[in-house]
Amino acid sequence: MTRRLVLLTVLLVGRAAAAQPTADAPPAAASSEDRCKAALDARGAAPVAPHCAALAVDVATAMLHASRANAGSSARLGATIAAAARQPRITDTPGAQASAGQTAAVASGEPVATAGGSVAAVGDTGQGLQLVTALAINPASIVLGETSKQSVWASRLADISIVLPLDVDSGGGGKGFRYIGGRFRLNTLAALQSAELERAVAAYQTLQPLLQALLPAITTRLESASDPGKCAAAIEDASDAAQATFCNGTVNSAALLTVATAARAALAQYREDVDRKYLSIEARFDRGDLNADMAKKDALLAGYLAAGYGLHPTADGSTLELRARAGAVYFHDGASDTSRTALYGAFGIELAVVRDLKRYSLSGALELTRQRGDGVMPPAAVAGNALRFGAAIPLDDGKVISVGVTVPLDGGESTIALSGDWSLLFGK
Amino acid sequence: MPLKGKLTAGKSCQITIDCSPAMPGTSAVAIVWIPKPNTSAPLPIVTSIAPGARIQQTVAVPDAQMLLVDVDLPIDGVSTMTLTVAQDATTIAIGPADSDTEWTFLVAP
Repeated sequence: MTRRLVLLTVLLVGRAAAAQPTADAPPAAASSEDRCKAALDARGAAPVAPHCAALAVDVATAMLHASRANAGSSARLGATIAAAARQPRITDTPGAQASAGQTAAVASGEPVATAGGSVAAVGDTGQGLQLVTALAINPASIVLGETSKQSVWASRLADISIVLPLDVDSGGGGKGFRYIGGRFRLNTLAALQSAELERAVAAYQTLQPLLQALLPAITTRLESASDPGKCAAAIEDASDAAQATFCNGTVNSAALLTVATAARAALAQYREDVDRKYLSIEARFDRGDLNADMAKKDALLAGYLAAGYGLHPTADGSTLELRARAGAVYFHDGASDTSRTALYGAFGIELAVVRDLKRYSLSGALELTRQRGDGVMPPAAVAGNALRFGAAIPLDDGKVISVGVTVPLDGGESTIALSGDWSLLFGK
Repeated sequence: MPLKGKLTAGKSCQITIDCSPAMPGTSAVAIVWIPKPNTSAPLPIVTSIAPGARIQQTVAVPDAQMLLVDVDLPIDGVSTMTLTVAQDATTIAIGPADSDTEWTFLVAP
């Protein structure tokens, strides 16, 4: 009798326990939606309906997240951004390109982010000591503001600048402002957007059809599972054996890892490459007494094409950049009413080390000029054939001291320019 | 990041991303709709965001299965952004991101 009572008690307790649902496994009698909702709750996901479709999205999310662990290149590229792809690059002597105040061996074609300026003391110009003041603004960036969604694009698009050379010691030729200059830069690569953007979009387009097919397949397996939580885990682990046990079938998600990793790498690459290269169209206009003959009717027009490409945008924050600049210069002498033209070309390299928002750089370049017409253009127009060297040392975010040396190859005095540069930065 | 919530197809939703001004570099974000079977979805939106900047995208929610918002941040310990997704003046999800992450939403009628 006692044995029968014990057996009955064991049977009753066992049935009661079997009827109690656990957190992981809701009762088998529950609907698939109820089982999926319980699984969503257990995973900490938003318990939205339809629950099995929501659980399928959550499973896909987990797989997408797991793919980051395999995206070593993405993580590496992500680390480089802190060094190589700063907010709009801080260039030397903003606005003073193609003037005596330029200190970089080859002036960058990259516009200022919003505004910038420089004051350079230039010695041995052939016309005494000059103070060259330049002020540059980026109209698109100023109009749109730094909180606009187009701010990154606008900050790299175009700038205009004014250049005012002030004769401090002209060696008897008078003091004061002799001419005024204007500059314009348009970075066509920023204007046209980048190939990296298209690659990132294409990479995510590849991900779309993959998930498009995968989500219904996962949903079907979860709906048929007696324990969707375990089925979800089996799918995430890509375990065929566990899926066969808990999902009544398998889902092939092998391609998701590869495609998601590629998409993330493309996104990181796009972010990194924003400042890697430029191709700029530049214009220059000077008006006044450019050749120090006291006739204030000289005029200079010039157009340039400038290109730059970073060879090594690495995680350690160093870059080696190739820079080139070529163009044509037209000069009209107001005193003699004669005109001259010149072709100009420069090619150089810049080595830069970036720490936080500070960019230390050394640059060197060969500059060649071929003049046409009678007479020689004044140094304010073209420097002639020369070697140029530049160095820039940042003092603070956006504040730089730079020095440039020009050594003429055809004889004559070398020129040295010492400049204090300032750039207005985003978020500062 | 687990599933963040549900968006109703046919209505518009607003995706807002605020980047910290202290970030030393740009961030990138991809907004990707996963279409229903045998349908097409809008092109993924990929854009970069300057430090201290905000982007706000108001988009019509297509008849899709899922929305993926993929974020790529500088890995430097200081970069952070705040994501907000709202629909019908109701905030579906809001929160910070201080490393590369993904936010997903179920899309249903």
